[in-house]
Amino acid sequence: MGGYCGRLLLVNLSTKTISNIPLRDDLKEDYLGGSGIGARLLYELLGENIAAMDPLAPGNPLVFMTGPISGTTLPSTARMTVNALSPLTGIWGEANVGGQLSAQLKFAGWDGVIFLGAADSPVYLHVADEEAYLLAADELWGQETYIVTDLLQERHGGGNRKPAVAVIGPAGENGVLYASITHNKGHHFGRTGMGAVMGSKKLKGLVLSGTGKVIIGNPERYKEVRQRLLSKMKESLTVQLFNLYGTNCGIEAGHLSGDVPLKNWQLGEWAEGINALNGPAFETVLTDRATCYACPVACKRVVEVKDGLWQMAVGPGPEYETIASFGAMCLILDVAAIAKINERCNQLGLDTISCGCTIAFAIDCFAKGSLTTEQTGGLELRWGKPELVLKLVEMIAAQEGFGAELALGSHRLAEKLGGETRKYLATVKKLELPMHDPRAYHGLGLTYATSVRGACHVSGVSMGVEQGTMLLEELGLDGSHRGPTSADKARLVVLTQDFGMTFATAAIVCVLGGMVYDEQDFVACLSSVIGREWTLEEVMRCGRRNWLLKRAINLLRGAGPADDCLPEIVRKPLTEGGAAGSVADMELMLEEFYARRHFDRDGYPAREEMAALGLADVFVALEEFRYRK
Amino acid sequence: MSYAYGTEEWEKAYLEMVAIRLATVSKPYIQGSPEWVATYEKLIQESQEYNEAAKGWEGTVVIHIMPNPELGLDADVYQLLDLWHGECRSVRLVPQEAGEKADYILSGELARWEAVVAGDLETTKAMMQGKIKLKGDLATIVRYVKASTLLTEIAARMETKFLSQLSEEEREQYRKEAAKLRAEFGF
Repeated sequence: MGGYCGRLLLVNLSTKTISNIPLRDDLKEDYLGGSGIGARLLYELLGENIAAMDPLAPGNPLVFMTGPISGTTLPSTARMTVNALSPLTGIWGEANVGGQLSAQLKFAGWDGVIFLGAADSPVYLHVADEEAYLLAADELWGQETYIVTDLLQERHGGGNRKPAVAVIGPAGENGVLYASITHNKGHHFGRTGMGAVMGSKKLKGLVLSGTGKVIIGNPERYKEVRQRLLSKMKESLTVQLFNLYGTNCGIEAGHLSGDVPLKNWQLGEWAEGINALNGPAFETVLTDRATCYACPVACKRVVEVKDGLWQMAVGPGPEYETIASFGAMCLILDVAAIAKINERCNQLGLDTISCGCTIAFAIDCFAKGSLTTEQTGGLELRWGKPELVLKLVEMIAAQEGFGAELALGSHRLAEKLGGETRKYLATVKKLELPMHDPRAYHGLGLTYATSVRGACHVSGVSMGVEQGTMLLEELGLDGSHRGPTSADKARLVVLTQDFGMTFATAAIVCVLGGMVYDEQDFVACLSSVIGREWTLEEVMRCGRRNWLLKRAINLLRGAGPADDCLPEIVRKPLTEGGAAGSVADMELMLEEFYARRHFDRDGYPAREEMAALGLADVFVALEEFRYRK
Repeated sequence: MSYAYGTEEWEKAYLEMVAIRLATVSKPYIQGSPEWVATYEKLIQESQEYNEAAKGWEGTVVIHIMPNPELGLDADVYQLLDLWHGECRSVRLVPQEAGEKADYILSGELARWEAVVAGDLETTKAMMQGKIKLKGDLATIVRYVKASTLLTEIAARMETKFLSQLSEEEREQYRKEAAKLRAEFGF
């Protein structure tokens, strides 16, 4: 079978032992790879402890997984996932990264790495082909990600070769609940606090390098599909735009349609700010473009701020989500300041979405009198103050003063503050909404509400389809859906969740370059790499299985239908802007969604469907859990 | 009589032809006809919002409609928009050679342009989906998303008769008139 290395590294941090375990055939066949296999492994490893496990306890496994097409030269496939129970949300945790990490792990001959237990002193994992060691990281603990990355690349590199490095910063070590994992400085496992899980295990990082290659099952077909996709990418305006202005290329069009959240989701128009934050505006600090392994898109930015208050050396630049989280949400219209805030988040190891949104939430609470200087340690939280935001970023990573409150994320902060503050909160299942407004795209609202990791805009690919930038015509999604309507959106969301689970989290294809893929392109990629014929039906079944398994983990963790909802702040219409007057009809969409998912009124999946998907054991566990409840 | 594009005679004859058609052809006008194009020009010129959004814009834009003989469109249609710093200096139907020299060319099949003018397809979305192709400097056009959206919105506000809606008799009449204009003006 092509695509897979056929083995996993099992690292027990408590005993400091490393073993080699085979990747079971049923995992490959049923769950494909990435967070699909990650979910099954997590479910099995947690066993009866799944409901009660503290995400920051040693018993929470941490699973890094590649997909079968990771490490190939198929365009936009250099992705990798990490999974564990999330300390931020308490449920299924999942983050995804590009860069060089997945390719290096595959070249070294491994499909994934599972970390169990916790070390008694800081360590990092070094993998070079067959060899894998846990090495002491005492001198690295407390250091920021850029410094550690340079140090480890120098220590373990040779000649022109630089190993792929993924490390946590002080935020992960200090238990910030939305700490990220930084890979080669510019790529991030951002969401759901996987960096905090690493910190709890005293695992500073991974250093990966390999000299092998991925075996292709059907080389002729592989060549053909690769050429086809490269030609499509060359023609694609979307790809050209991503290359030109990075992921921020659509901020102006997004603002016109009401997609870009402003001032903690409460402003509909801010033309002046968007002009100051758009693609051309960032060209003032742009020095180069960068890309992930074998990806022709090159959407990553390299920036430098030479002078002034926000001076920063040449390094990774902010992406759209970061620009919106700190710029549009906190009303900061200084490109250099945002580049600097982004740099510090990268170095400290913070998810920029949760960080920016938690700060915006706190500023909003302060502006409305629900938070006072007594609670903030004397800080006046105001809109449009980059120096304040930068200070808060530092305080969050250090868990210092009011920063320790912000380090909990906006949901827990609202719980602590009480009163009216819940009204200003924008989270689903405790995860901050990413930077796309569900009032502009109602299907996205349903995607957020039912996403298995909390508010997520990528795993379900519904956004691309609803915006019309991704066409899945064979599934009946031809790009004709209008954003601010709720009719027929449950169908769109179920289909894109099932497709997206396989496409964007198991295989794994990047959702940006992946917009040029259609269903048969993807099927051809899987078939050519694995070397057996896949069908679209199998893709959809795999996605459904993976989605239901993750949903089941959440149900076992206590997240049910009451959590399948949008926060109040985005259920209020805006009075101006592209989405003025528009609110998603969640009742309508959820009712149809539950029916299409064959859920009962408690949000539990049907026995027949679970059995047909090979999840009968999970169904039994759910039934026992319900009985005990 | 035929006129050479780019000469004063051509421009004078074109404007006279449009004036006559505006006075004689009944509404709604057929998409892409001289009277439709002239009405479009007037609406852009009257739009304060467009004027504001396109400040700084320099360059000609062509809307290129590909032929569809079955529906009566026997040749390519090039609508040239001469846009300058928020001002719409003119919108003309022009010959292919002139159309292909424009700074920005948006090309698409008749059905796509009908969907755009009907308000069923956003131009930006259509370009992303590859349904309408863009030729020209992407970096510049991206800076004027609002202006280009407004141009589409203005077209969508017009009461329009589409070629796909014509009866066989009307279609035949359209073919004849288009051929006559082609012989006279080169488009």
